[in-house]
Amino acid sequence: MSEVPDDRQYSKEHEWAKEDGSRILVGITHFAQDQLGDVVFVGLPDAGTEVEAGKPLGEVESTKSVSDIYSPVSGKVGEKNAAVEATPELVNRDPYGDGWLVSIEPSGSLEGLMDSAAYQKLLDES
Amino acid sequence: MHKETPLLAAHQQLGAKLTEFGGWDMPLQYEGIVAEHNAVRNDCGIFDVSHLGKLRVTGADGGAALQMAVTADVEALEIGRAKYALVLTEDAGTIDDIFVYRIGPEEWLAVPNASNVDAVAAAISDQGYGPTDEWDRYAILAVQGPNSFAVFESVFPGSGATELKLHSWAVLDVFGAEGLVARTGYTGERGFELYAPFETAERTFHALIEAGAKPIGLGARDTLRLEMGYALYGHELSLETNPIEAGLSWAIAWDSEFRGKAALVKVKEGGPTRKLFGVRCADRGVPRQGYAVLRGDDHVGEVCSGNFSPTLGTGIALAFGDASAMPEPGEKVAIEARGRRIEGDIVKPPFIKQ
Repeated sequence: MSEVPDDRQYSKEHEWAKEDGSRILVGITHFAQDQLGDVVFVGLPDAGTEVEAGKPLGEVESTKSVSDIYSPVSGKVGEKNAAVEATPELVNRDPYGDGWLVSIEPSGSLEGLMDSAAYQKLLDES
Repeated sequence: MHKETPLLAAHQQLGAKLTEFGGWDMPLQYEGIVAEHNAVRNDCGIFDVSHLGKLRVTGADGGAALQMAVTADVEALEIGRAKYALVLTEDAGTIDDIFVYRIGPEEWLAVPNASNVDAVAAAISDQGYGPTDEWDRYAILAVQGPNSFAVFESVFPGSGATELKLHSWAVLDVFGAEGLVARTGYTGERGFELYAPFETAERTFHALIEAGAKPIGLGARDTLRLEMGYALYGHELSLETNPIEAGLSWAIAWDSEFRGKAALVKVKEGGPTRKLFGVRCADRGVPRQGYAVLRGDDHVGEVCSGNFSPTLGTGIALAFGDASAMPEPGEKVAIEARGRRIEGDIVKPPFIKQ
């Protein structure tokens, strides 16, 4: 698995957003989970919660620290990943797949995000 | 001064994430904190704790100065034994917690936390004698876990280390260089702390890993000590905290004289105003230093150390509360974590039974 798959977009806070039909799936990147270390708790908003682009929508905690998850888009939470709340290490094991966090029904479009090449460049420079 | 462990290259080869501790770049983790934590609880781990201070105190005058600087009776300590002690201010605030090894009739090795080496050296010097900082003499390797004896014996067969009593030490031939091995640790598991001379430290580290010890970072060292309820400077101990509040009265030799004793006697007689207690979380979530502890809506304490316990699979915390309104074991409390309540129960540390 590539560490930066090119089928989705990225935020500078190391979230990813992937269009999936009419909804947007959101998670954190491989780099983010690696920096966090063992994820032991994921706090996610319930379905129906309004979220705003660039504002915290939840939190991920590891044995080292706690980090906010920023919403890459405005809209309403469609679904939260119950599996990742029950088994937080999914975020470490499969950050781009089974470790997704929430789906969002967007009220606007994905703006201000990076493609995989731009995100890879950000990682290379950090 | 930049201080570097002789194992830095070895850590990098092992893929360690490094972080700065008291001026040293030390491994925070290798594979991951949870896996490393479990390796120490179930098998055997090896930690590089070379950043710990190494202050050598010599002579009768040196011994007298050390005696006045620490809460243990170090002049009565037998050669071959080691003892935990506090270094206090005149007001009984805590400058550091240290281990003192009695090396010879007029020789001691004091081992402070990395960030407090200068403060401890100054506290001893204040009593009329300056210790020698031997930071680059030894690497310190902690070998800890239920299988630590077998691992150690296979690398140092016949050394006698496995026959040492808890908190005893002996001279050890470390691949031709003279070091020390002590039956001490900070994990709650049995094991050793090995003072390996810089020149043979890397060889020793690799030999112990080959014998079955898994490299463990300082991240797991913190979760291991927290499960045992052991104090960590900057959390349970500080210049604003006296050792009675922190539950360390057992480390005070009341019959000896030491700086801060008069203030500490007053605390003992009047009773401490604050005390430490433990919380085991029932909800998901991780308590952190600074979070409030609530009983109903009443503020009853503040977390000084909190983390996820890999052994229990829940959050655990040590917190300070008012001695007059101390929650009792079994009581329900909640920890306020970033606007959310994590429900939990008051427990008496250690959080796990060994």
